[in-house]
Amino acid sequence: MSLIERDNHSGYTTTGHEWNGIKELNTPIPRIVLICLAGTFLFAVTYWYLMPSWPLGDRFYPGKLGIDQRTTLAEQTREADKLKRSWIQSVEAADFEAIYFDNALMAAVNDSGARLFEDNCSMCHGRLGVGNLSYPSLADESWLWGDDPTVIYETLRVGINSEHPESRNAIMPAFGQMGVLDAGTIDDVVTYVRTEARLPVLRTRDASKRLKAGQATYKLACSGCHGTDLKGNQSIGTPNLVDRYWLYGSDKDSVFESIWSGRQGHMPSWEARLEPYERKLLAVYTTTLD
Amino acid sequence: MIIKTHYRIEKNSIALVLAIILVSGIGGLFEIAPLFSIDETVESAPDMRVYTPLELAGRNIYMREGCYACHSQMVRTLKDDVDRYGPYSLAAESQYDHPMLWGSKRTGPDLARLGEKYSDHWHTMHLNNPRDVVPESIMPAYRWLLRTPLDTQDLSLHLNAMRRVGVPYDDAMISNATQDALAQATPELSTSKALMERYGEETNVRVFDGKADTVTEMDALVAYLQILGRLTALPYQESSSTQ
Repeated sequence: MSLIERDNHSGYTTTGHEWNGIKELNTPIPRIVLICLAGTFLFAVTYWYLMPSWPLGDRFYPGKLGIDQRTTLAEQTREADKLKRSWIQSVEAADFEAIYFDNALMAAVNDSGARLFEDNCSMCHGRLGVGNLSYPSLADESWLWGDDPTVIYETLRVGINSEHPESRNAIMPAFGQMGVLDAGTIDDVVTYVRTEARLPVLRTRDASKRLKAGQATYKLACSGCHGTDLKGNQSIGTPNLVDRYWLYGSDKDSVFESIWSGRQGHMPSWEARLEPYERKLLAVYTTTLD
Repeated sequence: MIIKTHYRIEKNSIALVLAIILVSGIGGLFEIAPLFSIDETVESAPDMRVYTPLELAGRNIYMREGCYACHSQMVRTLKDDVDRYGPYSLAAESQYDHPMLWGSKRTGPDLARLGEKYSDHWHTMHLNNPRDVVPESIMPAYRWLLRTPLDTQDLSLHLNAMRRVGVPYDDAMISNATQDALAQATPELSTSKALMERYGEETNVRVFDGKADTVTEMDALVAYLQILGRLTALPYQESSSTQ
């Protein structure tokens, strides 16, 4: 077996192993494989030398090029800030009126504002700002706290019913759950509010009596916040009940549920997350939605 | 020449064994050696707080449902990541994560800075059926979370297991785990005060899922999601100091 045997046909030696007359040729590794292998080794050694690689106890070898992702990031951020600086400053300096009349700034609103809106606001208010059940639409003419960009800017800063110490607060009490009103009385109020809002109400025999009772209860329990004319009060964020917009649904059961269990919508504060100029862009952007 | 050496080594079993040990030893060295100095490479975050039992239960649900398969929890040191999600993740932030949930794929967005970004109500609606709030979402609906009461009985054991791998839970935290979990999602309980004392004033004590009478798996998961990125303020300080 140890005799070297050469295959006459191909000219290669055999490995010396034989299986039932079948022998294996001892062909060398193809040159291209060896070249690639050497190439990858060379690449690895160069890369180790240039880039952060070897651990050295409590440190690591930083590489000849001294590349650090964190400093790269800081540089990129500085570069981007430099590019943005001019228009950021003009956004910060301009009051809202001025932004509306400045085409360049409105371009920033439409570009960056839209991007910011999509990333931060669209989850609740929808991509087009049309809202959802229990999340107000920003694209209609009904506004809980007012449609002035200054007001929206402040809402973005402190949030509504949020953890922020200066948060806006708007809490619809749970009149039913807390035992202030019983189910029958609430039913009457629902009838009254829906009648005033021109929504279809079942005409039962005692309808006018219930309407009167509902109106009396409304005056006593609800008018303080929602107003005697049911038009709400933007300074305390109470919704208008006689426009055609219903944040929590206009059907009988939804209105009943609103009065029975109360409502406490939550808008997060964006002060820690977004820069003042970003909030300013968003405030203007939301007013342009329709 | 290398081929020749290789040829010779191949024929000598002892030499081959020694060569294999040498080569795999180099690989092993570079995997294991950094672990000896891990304490020096992880930043120190003195304000770092531990997960409350409810948040830990939520974390377990996060793992059980496989959220990590589509969501990462790692803001990378890349400009686009930082622009979108906030300051990049630090090692210190996941020092109490066993196992870590950094993830490697983003079918959905990164969640490392999710805490308090959206309201509890949104999270509840979204987990129950994502299409209710985000019509274009392809995330599955996790409807059972809202109707499954949270199993709080074995939480002490979970906390104990975490302590064994280095999370600084004290005896009081472990023995009161069940009580603390219930207290965090039920603000009117008198025990929520003790919870705050154990885990800090910053602890969120709320009805997370909108159902005050039962503590559900939804409570736990939302409590966990609302704390993501908020265990320490260190990343925010680091990023402002480098910029």
